[in-house]
Amino acid sequence: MADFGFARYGEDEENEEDESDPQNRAGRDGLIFLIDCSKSMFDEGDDDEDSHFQLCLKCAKTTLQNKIISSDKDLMGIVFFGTEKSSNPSDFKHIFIYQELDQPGAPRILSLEDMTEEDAKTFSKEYGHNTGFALHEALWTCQNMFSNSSQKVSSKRVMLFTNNDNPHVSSQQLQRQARTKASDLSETGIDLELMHLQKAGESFDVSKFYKDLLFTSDDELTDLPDPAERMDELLNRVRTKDHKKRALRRIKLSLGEGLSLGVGVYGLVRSCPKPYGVKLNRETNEELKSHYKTYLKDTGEVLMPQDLKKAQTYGGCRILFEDDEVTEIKRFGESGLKLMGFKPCSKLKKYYHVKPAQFLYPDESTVIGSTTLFTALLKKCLERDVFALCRYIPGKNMEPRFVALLPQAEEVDDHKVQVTPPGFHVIFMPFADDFRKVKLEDAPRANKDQIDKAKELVKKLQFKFSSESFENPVLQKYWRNIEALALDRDAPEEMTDYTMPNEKGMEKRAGKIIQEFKDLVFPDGYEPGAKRKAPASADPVAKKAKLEGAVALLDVKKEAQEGRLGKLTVAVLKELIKREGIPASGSKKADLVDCINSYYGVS
Amino acid sequence: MAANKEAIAIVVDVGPSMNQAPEGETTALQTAIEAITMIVQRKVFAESKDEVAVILFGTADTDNPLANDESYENITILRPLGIADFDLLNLIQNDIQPSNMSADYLDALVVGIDHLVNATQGKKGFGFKRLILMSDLGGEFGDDQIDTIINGIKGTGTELNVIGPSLDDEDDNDSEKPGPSTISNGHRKERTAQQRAGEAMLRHILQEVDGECYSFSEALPALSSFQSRQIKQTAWKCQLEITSGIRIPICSYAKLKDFKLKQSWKRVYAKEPSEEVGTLRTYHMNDEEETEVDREDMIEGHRYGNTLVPMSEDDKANMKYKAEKCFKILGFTKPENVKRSHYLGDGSSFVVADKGDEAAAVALSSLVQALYETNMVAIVRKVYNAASGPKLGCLIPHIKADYECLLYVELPFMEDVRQFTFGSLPITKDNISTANSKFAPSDKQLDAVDKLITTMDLCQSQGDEEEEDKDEEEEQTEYLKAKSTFNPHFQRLYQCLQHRGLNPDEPLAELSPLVANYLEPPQEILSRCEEHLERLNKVFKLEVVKKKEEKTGENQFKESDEGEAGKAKKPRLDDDLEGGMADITRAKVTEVGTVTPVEDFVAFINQKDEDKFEEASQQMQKRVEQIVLDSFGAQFYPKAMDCLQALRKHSIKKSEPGLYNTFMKKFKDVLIAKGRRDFWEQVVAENQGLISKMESEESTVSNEEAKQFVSEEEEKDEEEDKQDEGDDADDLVSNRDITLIFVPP
Repeated sequence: MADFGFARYGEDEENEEDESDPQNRAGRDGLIFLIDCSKSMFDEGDDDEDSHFQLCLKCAKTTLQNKIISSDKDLMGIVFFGTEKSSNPSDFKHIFIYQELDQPGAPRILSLEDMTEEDAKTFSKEYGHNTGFALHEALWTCQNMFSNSSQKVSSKRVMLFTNNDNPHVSSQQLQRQARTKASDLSETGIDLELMHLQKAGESFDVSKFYKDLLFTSDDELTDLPDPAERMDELLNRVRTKDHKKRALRRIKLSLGEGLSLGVGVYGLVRSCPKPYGVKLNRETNEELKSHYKTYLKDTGEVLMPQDLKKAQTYGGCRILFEDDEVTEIKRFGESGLKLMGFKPCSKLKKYYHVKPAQFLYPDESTVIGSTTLFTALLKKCLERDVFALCRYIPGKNMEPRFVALLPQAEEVDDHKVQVTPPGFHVIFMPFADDFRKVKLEDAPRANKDQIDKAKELVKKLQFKFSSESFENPVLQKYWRNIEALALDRDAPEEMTDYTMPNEKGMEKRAGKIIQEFKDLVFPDGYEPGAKRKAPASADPVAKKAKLEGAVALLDVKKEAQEGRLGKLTVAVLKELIKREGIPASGSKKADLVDCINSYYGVS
Repeated sequence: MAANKEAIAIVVDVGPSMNQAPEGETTALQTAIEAITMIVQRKVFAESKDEVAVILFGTADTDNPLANDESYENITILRPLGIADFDLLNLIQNDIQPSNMSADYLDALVVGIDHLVNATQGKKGFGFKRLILMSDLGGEFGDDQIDTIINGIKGTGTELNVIGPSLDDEDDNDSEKPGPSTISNGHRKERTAQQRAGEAMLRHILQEVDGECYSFSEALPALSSFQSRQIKQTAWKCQLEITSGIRIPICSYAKLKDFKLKQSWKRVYAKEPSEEVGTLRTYHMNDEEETEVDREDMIEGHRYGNTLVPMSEDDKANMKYKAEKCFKILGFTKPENVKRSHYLGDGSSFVVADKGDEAAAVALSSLVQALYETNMVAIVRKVYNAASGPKLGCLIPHIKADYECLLYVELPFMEDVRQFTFGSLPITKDNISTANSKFAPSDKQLDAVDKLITTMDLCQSQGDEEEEDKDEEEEQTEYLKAKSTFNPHFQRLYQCLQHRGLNPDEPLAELSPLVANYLEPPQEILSRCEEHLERLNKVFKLEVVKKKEEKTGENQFKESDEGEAGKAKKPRLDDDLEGGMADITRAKVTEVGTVTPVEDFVAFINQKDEDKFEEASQQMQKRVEQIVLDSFGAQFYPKAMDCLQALRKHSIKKSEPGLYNTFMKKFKDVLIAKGRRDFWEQVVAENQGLISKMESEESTVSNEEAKQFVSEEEEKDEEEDKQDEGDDADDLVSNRDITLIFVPP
């Protein structure tokens, strides 16, 4: 059974033939939350604010929930350090594996929920606090969890949550050991991310200690964000890192004969569908496997792929192709992007949209030196406000498409968290085939007063849009229900449908203008959508009368015998069938004619 | 039923001037035939109801209703108006032949109009008439009927398109220019006085009837305008709401939509294509017997992570999100907040006021104008119908001289957007850090890129700089306009469908050069930027990472996994099922034996410490040959074929196609010489021939060569071959060990 949503994010639906390429085989992400449990993490804020520890747990719970929705094959684990109690296979002191590295599921979320609700005292009783931990042992534990995992993990990441910028202040040796272990982690392909929190009135100085523990690969290197103080900040940071970014493919961008650079193609936006169900055995609730077979209807003989060809039928002529010929028809050469030339960005019409965009970022792993050329190209395209038009063949068996490489500069928010990465957006250009001719009729236009009123309205109802603030209500409803069933809750969590307009708020802000606008543009008594005075023929009553008139005059049998039924409209035929009580089925004209003919024995 | 069908008369010149071209180049007539083929192909395979007539002029014979021994001579209606079909394609392919007669193009136009009018009389549904003239105007003509023609075209509401001469430079009297010439088919050809006179006349007509003209070199882009009406415009009607207070009745029309083929591929039984094929999905338990489970013993389940949640139909119904059809504005926002790269869905549409509702039109107009003037867009909730979930979209004002509307595009929800962090690139000073400064381009490098952009501009003003006084907008030629670029895949498919439909036994048709052409940058631009590309090559140091390392994805995982996990790793379930635990425990293989040659071979080449591929390959080759030659009849062929397949597969995988190809060439001769042609035929049927460039980049064998290699022998024994193919398939189906009885005839 397929995976859904972002779990399949690294794949392209058209990408079947590329699956053998390990780059495209979406692996599992492994993520460990390594949470500092020193006493200060449990300090509560002034007015009943959550403690830092509670923030971390909530963050972990949300991440688990998100993982279930987006990629439930990923593995997650939670490790505490700085506890009195210990639980880990190496018997390190003050390190407690709270949740082993495993797929997310209902029990884990429930247990996290319980713990979040406990107060600091309960935690102290159960786990205790002790600052005698060694950070390198905590890291070691995480590393072990990855390597002992029975499942193949293709990306490994540890998120370290702490509000202490110098845990081993008095021990040079512990500091050195932590640094060594951190570099060890980096070498074995485990990313260490610092999710630092800030105590009220204090600062978190990364340079004291943690700076030397962080090794980020070039293609993810940005400024370290400010330490988080609030839940949403922390969550936002976790969210940008909780999935390993995975290229859809790594291909070459050729600028001309003998001049190619390596690029990674990424999908940053894609419709996340509601997952399909799976089939379970009613008795055991066990998941069932499915097999698919093709057979001859006549004999029931099961056919193998070799027995089959592909066909299309035109004008009664069935045209046959072998499977690989169908593939061959799609084949237009090596995969990659090929520069055709440049055009001003203004030539990229706003309505040119046929497919969600992709994103390009240089890839040194295929061609060394790509980043510099890419950067130069990006810089110049931005300066000159042009886009590069390229021919794009994603895989060798995929048809070409022209794409606009739209330059994008990096954007960061107030907390230095990257909002938009630097690179080129890959905008798919339409082909002549994709254009529809829309014929619009001349329509009266608004006058200045009306436009001015509309402007007032627009200004009053202005807001800062971001997709981030709109959840898909269909998905949310689905997941909340599943969650309620899985976690055995009485009722699913309340859901707000953010796609519904805030009617009250809008009224309040612009009620008066709305009324004035209506008065200006709509005539008195205007009822939107009410049937306007239409020509008589379109009037349903008149139409009916006309139809009945036509039917009354007809002698069905005679019409049938003289083969004139085909000249009548479907509506008339239906009336006739009703009138004569002819047994009939179907709604197509040919079917109706056949029914009447057979009723009167006309062939 | 709306009148939305089109009647098209294609009027083609087959006279002498159409058939002149320098050695090795295509003639205007050949291009014309290709263009007509494409027009008709698109009609056939889009299952269009449009009708097409083909009229030739310059034919030796005369066959048209207007001919009367004096005028309208040498004009033939090749095919009267009718739905485009295979017969028509056949006719175009075979019956448009060059001649040495020349005929009057104006006469031919009259015949065309006359035919269009007569043939559509009494037929319903023809909303449009079109006359396409394809001629280089080389023949003589009489201008006495000119007004009749113009009035005829105007009076019948026919659209005139001409493909032929290039009428661009109207400044014939411009003394600075060299003699006027016509670019036809890419080669410049001096125009004759006759052509010039013909052009002058044509220009007059085109002006009068508001027609359009394209040169042969533009023939392909021109086609786009001939086939825009194939999808009827359908409106989605709703009310645009700004609170329940303002409700504006609107229609929404798709403007762009990712075009999908009319037909999808159907699976048919190769041996007997007319037999019906059914498909069935069955469900099985995870036990050893894979016990099949009946439908009534199943229940639907949903995953919550690794927790499975069974669900009844009632639960399911209760869980569904219900929405009503609507189009509600949530508010307005700055265009910067709506990123173009976030557009979702497969198209865009235009939203206008409901037809005939003037109040709605005014209301919408004021909204469009207000958004435009304040530089804002609207965010809207759209529910297409009660069965579909809500979508988020934006409405962008779109104002043109003759219409105004709102442009609708779908936007993503939070769940649809993925936030990835990418390293900062040293674009501006602010972005430069110690880490990325090593990537910062130098001024010299930037300059080289800058020059490239200048020379590869696809929107240059055509002609010389001195023509500045002309309206710049008008003079700009834009290469590769989306509107006039066809999807090459569909074009190719149509071509192949036609070819296969007419010649069921031939291989696929080659890609039309007209299509192949626009998949490369325009020639002028290429020659202009050559020196800059060279310079770029010099100033940028690019080094392709070696192929071996490029495969690292796999290797790296392997290595890192080993580093941590040591030997405790699970067996990798790759596509070679022969691997696994058995592979690990097996003693080091140094020879490909006869008992389990495939397993031996795979183990051999997968030895990690050294590259033994060449040795293994050679041994495997020997085995294949031995098994075949030792076989009693076809007894061991399946085994040999397994070996060969493994050898070929791994040769591609290991990027070593050369060894296999050398072997295969020799092996073919051996097989034929030793009377083992039946095995060779299996090789062909199983596609185990040479490894072409398409399959492995290292191969030196082109696709054609590979095809030729297998087809040389194949054709002679076609009958026999077919039978083999069928039986072969059976071999693969059933257990290989028990099919040994089969002996080829």
